[in-house]
Amino acid sequence: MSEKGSERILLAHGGGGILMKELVDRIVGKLGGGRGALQDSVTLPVEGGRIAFTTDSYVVSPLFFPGGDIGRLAVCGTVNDLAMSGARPVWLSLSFIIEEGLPLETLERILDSIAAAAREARVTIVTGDTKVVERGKADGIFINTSGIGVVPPGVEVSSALARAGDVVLVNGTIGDHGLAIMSRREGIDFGSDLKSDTAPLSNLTEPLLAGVKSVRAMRDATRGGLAAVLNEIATDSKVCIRLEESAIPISEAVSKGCELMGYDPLHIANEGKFVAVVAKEDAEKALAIMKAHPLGAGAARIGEVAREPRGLVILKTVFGGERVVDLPYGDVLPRIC
Amino acid sequence: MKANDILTTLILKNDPARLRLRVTGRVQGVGFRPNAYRIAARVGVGGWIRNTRLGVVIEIEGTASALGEFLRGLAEDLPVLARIDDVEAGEIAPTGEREFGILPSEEQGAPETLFPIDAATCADCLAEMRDPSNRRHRYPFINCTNCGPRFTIIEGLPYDRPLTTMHEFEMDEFCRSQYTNPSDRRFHAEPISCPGCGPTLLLFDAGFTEIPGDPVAGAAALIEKGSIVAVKGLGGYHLACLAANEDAVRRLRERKRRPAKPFACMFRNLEAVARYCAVSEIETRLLVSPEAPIVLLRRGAGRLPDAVAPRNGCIGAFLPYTPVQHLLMEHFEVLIMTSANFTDEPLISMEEELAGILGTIADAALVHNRRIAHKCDDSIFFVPGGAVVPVRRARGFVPEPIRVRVDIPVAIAALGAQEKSVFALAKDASVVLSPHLGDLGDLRSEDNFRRELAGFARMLHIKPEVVVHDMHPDYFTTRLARSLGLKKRIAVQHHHAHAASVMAEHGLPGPVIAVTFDGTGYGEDGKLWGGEFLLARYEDYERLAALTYLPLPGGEAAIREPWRMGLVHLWYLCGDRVLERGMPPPCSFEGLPADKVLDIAKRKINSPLTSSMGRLFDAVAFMLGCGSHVSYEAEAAVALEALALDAKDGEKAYSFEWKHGPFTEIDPAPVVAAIIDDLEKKRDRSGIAAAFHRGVAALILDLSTELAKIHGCADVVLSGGVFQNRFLCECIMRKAPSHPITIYQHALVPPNDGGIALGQLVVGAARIRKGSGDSNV
Repeated sequence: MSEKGSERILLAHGGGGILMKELVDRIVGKLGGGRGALQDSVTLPVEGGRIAFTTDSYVVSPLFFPGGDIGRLAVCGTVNDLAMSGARPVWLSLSFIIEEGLPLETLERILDSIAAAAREARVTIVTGDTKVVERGKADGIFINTSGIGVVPPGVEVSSALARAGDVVLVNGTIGDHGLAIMSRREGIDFGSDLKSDTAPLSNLTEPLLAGVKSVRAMRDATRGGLAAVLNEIATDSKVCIRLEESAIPISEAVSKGCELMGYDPLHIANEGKFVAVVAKEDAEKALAIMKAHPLGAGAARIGEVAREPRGLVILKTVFGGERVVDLPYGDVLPRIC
Repeated sequence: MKANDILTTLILKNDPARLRLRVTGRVQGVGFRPNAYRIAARVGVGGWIRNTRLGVVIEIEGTASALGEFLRGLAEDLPVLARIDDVEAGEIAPTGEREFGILPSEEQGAPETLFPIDAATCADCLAEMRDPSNRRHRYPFINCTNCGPRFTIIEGLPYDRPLTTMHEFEMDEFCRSQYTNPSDRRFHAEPISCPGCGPTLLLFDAGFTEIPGDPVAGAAALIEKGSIVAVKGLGGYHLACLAANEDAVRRLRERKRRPAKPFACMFRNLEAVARYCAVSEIETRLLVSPEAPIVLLRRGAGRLPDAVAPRNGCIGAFLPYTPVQHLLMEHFEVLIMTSANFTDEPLISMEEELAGILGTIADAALVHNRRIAHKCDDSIFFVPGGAVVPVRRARGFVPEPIRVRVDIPVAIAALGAQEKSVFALAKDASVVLSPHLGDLGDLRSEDNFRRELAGFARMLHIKPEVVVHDMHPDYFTTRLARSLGLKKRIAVQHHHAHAASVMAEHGLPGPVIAVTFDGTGYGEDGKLWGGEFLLARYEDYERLAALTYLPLPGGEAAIREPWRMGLVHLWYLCGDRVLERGMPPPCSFEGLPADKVLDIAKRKINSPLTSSMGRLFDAVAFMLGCGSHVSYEAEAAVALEALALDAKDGEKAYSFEWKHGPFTEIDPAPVVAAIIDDLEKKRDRSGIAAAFHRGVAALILDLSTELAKIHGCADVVLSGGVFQNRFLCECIMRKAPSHPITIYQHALVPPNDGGIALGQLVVGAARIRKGSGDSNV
């Protein structure tokens, strides 16, 4: 639309919409990377097996929020990316970019939280780095973590493996994290105790993978929410995902908050929720394993995989309509007149 | 020369004679050729009619008296949207031609224009249907070369029985003898049939079991008892129920999940319409035209239950246009006849789809086995102050091409917007518009849109090289445009397309001052426009003036909840302590999360900025007690208009303020202040609503006049959904003569987003010609 030289990175480039996808494609294109480079986490062959490798940076305001903080987020986010590729997370790196003036006490609280989350996720932090930048050059603290996990033999999970007839599960209510952050940051009270769901999902994916052989795809519904990950699976697997609106677990607080702010809960970020696509015959078993674990107590079957129309996610609304769930290009803007 | 005068000035050398006519004016895209065809068939002249770049060319051959009758018919039985400016005539050598045909446009690459159009059952067929001695007595599928299904049964071109869904019925000897007899009025009536060979009408109950007996009488008995019956029409099913039975209407609203959007009413005849509605002469002509559209009429003396059209100053009225409807309406004076679908889903046209509503919405269905090839809704018009303005262009008008003044150098597809979707296809200077394809976002609507786009392109032999679309990045049509992979893709700003659509309809050369007032459209700056004054040319535009940007708190939520914009406008007027200041009744935020929404607006959470005039109507409607939430688009504005229509005559108008600069910002605060002030003084709400409308009209006329003077032009075009407001249009037209500008309203396409595709197409064509269309491939 505009000339090349005048293009600038917009905030919306990081929003999880199509604009962001285009940016990532551009980055990957420049690097001459292969398909795998697009994945949040990559599986690599090593002597004697396979490892999963991932990296992620964490910027969040406020640093502390109900149900978590940037430290816990930095551990769980990376652990979850590994878990989604079917791996058992083992090692983590940890880098800080700290803004001049951050109270040491704040840093210590974050470190305690990191240590606790690492214990919970059963990972070891094995390397790290610390940089301090001038006041105004960072928002308190930024954290980067990278992680390595081991993929057990026989495990084949990928967003490209969903097949028609499969069933789509989610491990609990959606939208809690995004709304909790927004509520705290903007000081808007939704009249209920909203909490982020930040949690290490490997604790749940390990028993799931051990108990159910037909897990085809798993994706944690972070930025862009359920809509983004389901679209990714539909595109990569060349299938259609049909959701039942009434089956998607949403807490009343999230539902009310979304209504108030005009957000679609399907687009809201989570940090402890993932979708699993499993063969129909294993759906009940998978659901039972999830429900037996605290991280999956609210698990539900939310839809299924169909052959056509390929690449689309379709929501059967409570009124019987069939809404196409797409990704916003950048910021969500009204389409109705 | 006037058509009537031709024979008095032209001395014929022969009898029978042959004439060649060239007719100019608004004669393309308005059903002029089918009308001429009907007249030719009626008076018995041979010849042909054809669209050309220079107007419509007709050759007619017959006796002097038949030619005279044809010319009289041409001038007097003009389609209601048509206007003849001039007729040139000359006598040429007779050829002996006895049949009359519509010929395809002869221009290289012009779209195939033999795409015929559905027409209401004609008087001759009705007379036969009511004649007990006629073979087609009470036959529900009677038609002839003048009337019956056309576009809705076509599966391919040329228009010939084997390429219609009627190919499934083998003609019997009786029909074949009429079909092949050049002197019969059913000569080559492609959908001809009779009780011996045609489709069958059946009545099914909610369980899809046939109810024995006369299907029409059975359906009528069910409706009489308060049931809702699906009735198959030309382009889809209607849902019929008693309009006078409030319970039945409420049940229909519940089942259809349509709490307030008005239902159309089918009346037995004009007398019945006149009992319930005020009908002008021009509205009468529309109602009885072969296009038989729904016409939005002011309410009259007779009362229908409020549930038919709650808080609405108008009734959508139409007359029966199929034999089945005529037979059914023998039993009733007025029925609700609303399109059969769940709200936001496409119109139901196939029996497989019927299963989705039978038993859930409809208690029974009056069905037949003539397949519908294209879904096609009823067209809708309104007549503000004598001008005929479409609200929806579909049955009866589609796919008659519209001729535009802009050169169209390559085959172009323009995909329209998101709601009230319509696409346009063109090669050369003829633009073919799809029927209204509904609101996109629902998968089935999107599939139907894709299917119709491919089908039209195939039938018209148009392979688009360029696709034009809206700038909104998330419209389905924008995504579709990206996925088509054509050589060139051109994004056109929403309101520029609105402006260009009126320019194209009237053949205005430009530049014009365009007043584009609607709900929301994606602006060049990423903000939501909708209250703009543009200096528009086909190829480009400048944004001269607009309403002050204000946040739309919660995005679409603020569109569904007009109270949010009410709050924002009051906040803009009163400042941060707006909620501490009590508002005069009926303006109240009690029970609404006003503090939270104010926070959302202040903190800019999901609060895109908008200059929308439609949202100002929402805000004012809320302040005047027209409701805090809406269930359909523009519900609040419609209720506000209904209030204004109730007002006693007056002149009071609130004043917007603006200061001219490189860009003129229009401040709505003085208007909102005056409204609150008048509410505090306990002034009549209707009077306030009327003064608001007059204020908007004054803004349009005064600022347009000033801008026209500054920019040296005199033509002003009005477009956008706000101009579906009858009261506003009438205020504007009443005051317009005292301004040195010429106002143009829509005439062929609707002011709403249903007209966007035409505008996009001509802008796209102009950019290609200028070589500036190489944007974003």
